[in-house]
Amino acid sequence: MLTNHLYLRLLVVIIMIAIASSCKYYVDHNFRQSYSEINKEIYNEISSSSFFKVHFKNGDVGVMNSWDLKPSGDTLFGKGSLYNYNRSLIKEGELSFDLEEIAIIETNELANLQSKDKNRMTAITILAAANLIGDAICLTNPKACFGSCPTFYLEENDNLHSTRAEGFSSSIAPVLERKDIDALQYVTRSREFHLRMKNEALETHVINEVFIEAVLKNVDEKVYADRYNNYYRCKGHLPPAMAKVANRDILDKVKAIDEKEYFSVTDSLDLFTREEIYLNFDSMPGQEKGLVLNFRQSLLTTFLLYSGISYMGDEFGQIFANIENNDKSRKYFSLPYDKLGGIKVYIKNPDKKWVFVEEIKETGPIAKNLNIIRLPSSENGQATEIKLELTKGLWRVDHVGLTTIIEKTEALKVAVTDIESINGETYTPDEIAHDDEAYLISLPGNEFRLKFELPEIPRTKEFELFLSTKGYYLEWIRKEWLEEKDIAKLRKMMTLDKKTWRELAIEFKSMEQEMETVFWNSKYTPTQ
Amino acid sequence: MKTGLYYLIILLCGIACKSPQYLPKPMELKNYTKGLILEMEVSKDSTLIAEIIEVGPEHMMLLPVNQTSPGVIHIERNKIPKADIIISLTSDDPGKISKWSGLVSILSIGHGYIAIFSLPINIAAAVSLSQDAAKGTYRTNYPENVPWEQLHKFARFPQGIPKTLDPMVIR
Repeated sequence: MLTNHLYLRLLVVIIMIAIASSCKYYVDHNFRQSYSEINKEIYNEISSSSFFKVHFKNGDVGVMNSWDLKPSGDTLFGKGSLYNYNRSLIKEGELSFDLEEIAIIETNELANLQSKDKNRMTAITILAAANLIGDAICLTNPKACFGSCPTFYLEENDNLHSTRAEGFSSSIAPVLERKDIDALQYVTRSREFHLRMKNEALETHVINEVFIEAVLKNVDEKVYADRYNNYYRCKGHLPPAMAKVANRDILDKVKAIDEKEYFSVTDSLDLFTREEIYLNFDSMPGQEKGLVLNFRQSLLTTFLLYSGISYMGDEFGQIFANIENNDKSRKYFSLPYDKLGGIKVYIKNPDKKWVFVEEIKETGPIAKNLNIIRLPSSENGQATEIKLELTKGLWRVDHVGLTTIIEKTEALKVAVTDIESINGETYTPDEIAHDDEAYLISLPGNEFRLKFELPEIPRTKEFELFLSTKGYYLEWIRKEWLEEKDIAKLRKMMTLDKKTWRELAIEFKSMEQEMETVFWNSKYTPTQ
Repeated sequence: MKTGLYYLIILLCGIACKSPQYLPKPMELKNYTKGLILEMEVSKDSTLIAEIIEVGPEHMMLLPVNQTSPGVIHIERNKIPKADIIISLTSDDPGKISKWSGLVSILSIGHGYIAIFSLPINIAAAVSLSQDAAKGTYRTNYPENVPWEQLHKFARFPQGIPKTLDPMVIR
């Protein structure tokens, strides 16, 4: 990998070579002809010219667009422009000259002196097409271009947009190793279940534990997990009757779990600017209700993470060790992410006042997170008004719905029974079966097929599956990041210095649209 | 860093790709009534760039393009062993080419890590196109392609500076 410094030098050399490239087009000098024997030439040579120039003995010059000779043969007249010796315009329109005043007549054949802009625009179009092909490659496999954390796929799906889960997305160092549960949004009655686990980024994935949490349910029920990893059996599902942001209707974006998402862009100068989504739900049976939210993050946190790491430079390891050993440091470094916040859920109480219910968050821009938020008990048949408060440009909300909670339930922990190494080292299930000192190490390009065996269940039942992962991943520090070391800026970033965050906002804004468009629009309908 | 890089590209392109103001665009040639531009290497470090005002049998009168005050300079024929005669730019709208090629190069941002490789290629192509549009010129050269006797047709006064005109008031 090139260092930042070397890379910039290479760019400068390339630019200098491009600048120095010769752009001289030599043409035949005969494009211009001049005639001094006026009476002889004026008929023979200029009669076919669409224009010609008349140089006068006094130094003036005329550009004639139409012309003729008076019957007397001694006067040229027509339409054109007359300039003085310093080539300032004297007269425009009808002109008339005595042939005796003319010194030289000049004709120009300009066919070979045309603008080459058309050719250049063709080259730009070809260049744009080549770039779009590059974009398309990244659209097909965004992580190959952008990177993220471990991804899990069902057997029949293998492209990034069908990712069912991102494992431990926020665990970017050993100290941050933690358990992460993701709804696979998959139900089954089969005895066998397979997942593919891939490392498609420039990262080392250190996986401590992987298992399935299978929750038994009736066929007409759904199971949702809350942010504390509690499971709830639920029945019925109600989309909102109204969904608005700043009086703009976004119902079409959030009414169903589909490919349409609501998202906004960040504020140009303040990344902490928040917005509110208002939702109205008709009445639905039951007193215990839950708000179902399907969401994920934008690329803002990825941008901030990379910015922070680059400011750490070669002190990255030391700083992270400090975070590992020091609670105060850990809090210090989580300050910006705390301020960016999650999605805050409010409900309107019978007194028509907004009451805070819960704040939900999950790191990662790829897999959607399906979670439930338990709402305060309400009277049966009562309509529900909800407000979501979130940071602009940080979240993508796919769906918000209401469901009736039947009961809290428990999950069956299903361990991996076989690991098939498709690309990577060979591992045994034991290495990811328990939260211990054994790890599965997955390097860029590695892929593993994980087999799970589920117990037999009655025909009227099925399992709703959730993926539980524990581990961390190490971002491969690009050498050029080391060159960007700026501890003072890191400190300002972490202490929420207004000027620094304003600069970050401007920097992100300059790439936000392009990043988001390229990253997401390969499959999804643009929502903004 | 990325934003800085793009600003750097735009800045370099802006500086490097500025068109010489003394040259006409192709679409302006029809109504261009000044003399063409002579470009001659005076020494290893110095190039004379001047409008051709008059070409006589053994001399040339020139108006240097960077000269702010009126008045022409006289150069003997034997002091001009070789020179280029610049006719015009090759672009009617260098700004448009520069803008579009710059925008296309920014598409690299959609390439993620691949931009490490695609960005330099894009920059090279963009700067090269912008450079060609801004500084590309049509020209002919003396003595290879045009003899001295024909050079007068490229002067502001192909008939020679009028006797009634003081050469020192020409600008």
